[in-house]
Amino acid sequence: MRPLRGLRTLALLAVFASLPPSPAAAQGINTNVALAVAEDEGILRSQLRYRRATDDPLGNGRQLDVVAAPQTLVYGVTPRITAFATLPIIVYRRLEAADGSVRRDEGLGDLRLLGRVTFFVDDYAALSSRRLALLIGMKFPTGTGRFGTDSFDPIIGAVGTWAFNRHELDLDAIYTVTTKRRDFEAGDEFRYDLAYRYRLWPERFGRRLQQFNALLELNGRWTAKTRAEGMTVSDSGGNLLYLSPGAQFIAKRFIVEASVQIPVWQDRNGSQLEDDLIAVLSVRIPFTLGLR
Amino acid sequence: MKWKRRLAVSLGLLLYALPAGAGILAAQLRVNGLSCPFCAFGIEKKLFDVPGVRDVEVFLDEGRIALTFEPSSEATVEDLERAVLGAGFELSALSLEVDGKISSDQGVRLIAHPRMTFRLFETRAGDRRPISRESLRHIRETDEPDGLAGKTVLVEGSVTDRGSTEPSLMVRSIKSVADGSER
Repeated sequence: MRPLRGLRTLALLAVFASLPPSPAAAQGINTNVALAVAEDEGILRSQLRYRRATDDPLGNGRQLDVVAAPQTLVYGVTPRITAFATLPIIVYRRLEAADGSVRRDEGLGDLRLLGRVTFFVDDYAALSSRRLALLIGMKFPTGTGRFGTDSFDPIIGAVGTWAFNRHELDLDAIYTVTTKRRDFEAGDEFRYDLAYRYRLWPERFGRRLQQFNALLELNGRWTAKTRAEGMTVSDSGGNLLYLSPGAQFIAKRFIVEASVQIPVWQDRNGSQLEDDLIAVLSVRIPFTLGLR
Repeated sequence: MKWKRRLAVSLGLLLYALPAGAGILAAQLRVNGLSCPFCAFGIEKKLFDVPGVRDVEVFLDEGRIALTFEPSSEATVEDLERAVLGAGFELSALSLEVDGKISSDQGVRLIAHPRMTFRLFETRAGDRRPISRESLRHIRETDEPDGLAGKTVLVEGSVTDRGSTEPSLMVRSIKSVADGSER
């Protein structure tokens, strides 16, 4: 059973390393959006994510604390094509095992490159837009130590945004097909998100272009079981659904936002730790790349 | 020292009396779908790249963008359209304040600068028609049609058939730069 225990840990870490890298363009905090990024313009999104998992189904008092800092660069290739590159930086991970021993880690996660191709645009009034886009990309095995799946994994998905006056709805669905590498294959991942944003302030824009939003998101994650050395790891994969209230301040030259992801449904396979919460703090800054 | 002051005053008066350089002086753009200040900043940056743009102000609630230009700006309608497209949006309407010289060879044209010529139209009895001699009478010095040629005017109106090499300007107001009288 010893090798399998190691595989369980590996699976747990792989799942964590593939924690959803959040989007970077415009509004959603944990949900992708289909809003425009200007051609040859860039956005840097820097996040700080804290995850705490203490709910041990075995009752052994295991505990996991992780601080990650995913960094995302967004680039407007054309008015309809946007590129995203996300590198998760694991600043700190502390796992307290059942026997009281503590293991600390840090490192890099897997780099994700994503292209967003907008195929439907209906800007039908001031402050009002409907847009749909396809997402196509790849996850690269840049993860150090245990923070990656060590595989090239294709990503495909779709995203839609409907902004109207003080409201915005965002919806995405993204599937990651994990591939096998050296007898290890992390489970496929499917994420689906729905976000509602309401502009609390101002009621009407004046000359000063700033706004304060309240957000409520539903963020779902399904992960298939990991396979290692020809065996399925029973303590891997499962379903997660977070309810994520958030707040956001948008100015012309930056966005500051915060969100708390509260698990409302957890159906993890086996004896995996269950999340208490994930807290997210994020800043976005636009810049001109001047590549053209 | 008196001669220096007189020279300065004379130069100032001379500069004031000279007609402003031909070109677009101001523009009002209608752009739908701008949903937040971040989008506004993206389009602002693109519009500042248009040659001669001095200031950009975005009015999100109205979907309107007000531009002012440096004198003698050589910006064209195509430049403005390309900037808006580059930001990921579409220009739904455009109004301009343009000055330039009148040419009346084949219908009345306004030559703003070597890259930009407008055909001038107006609305009469609900129809779009080439601008009439009556509408231009107050800026004419003679009754001869050719009397218009070479006259510098300041025109304000909305642009139609923007894709054309000579876009049409539906004139709302027109005035002579020289006498400043307005219709």
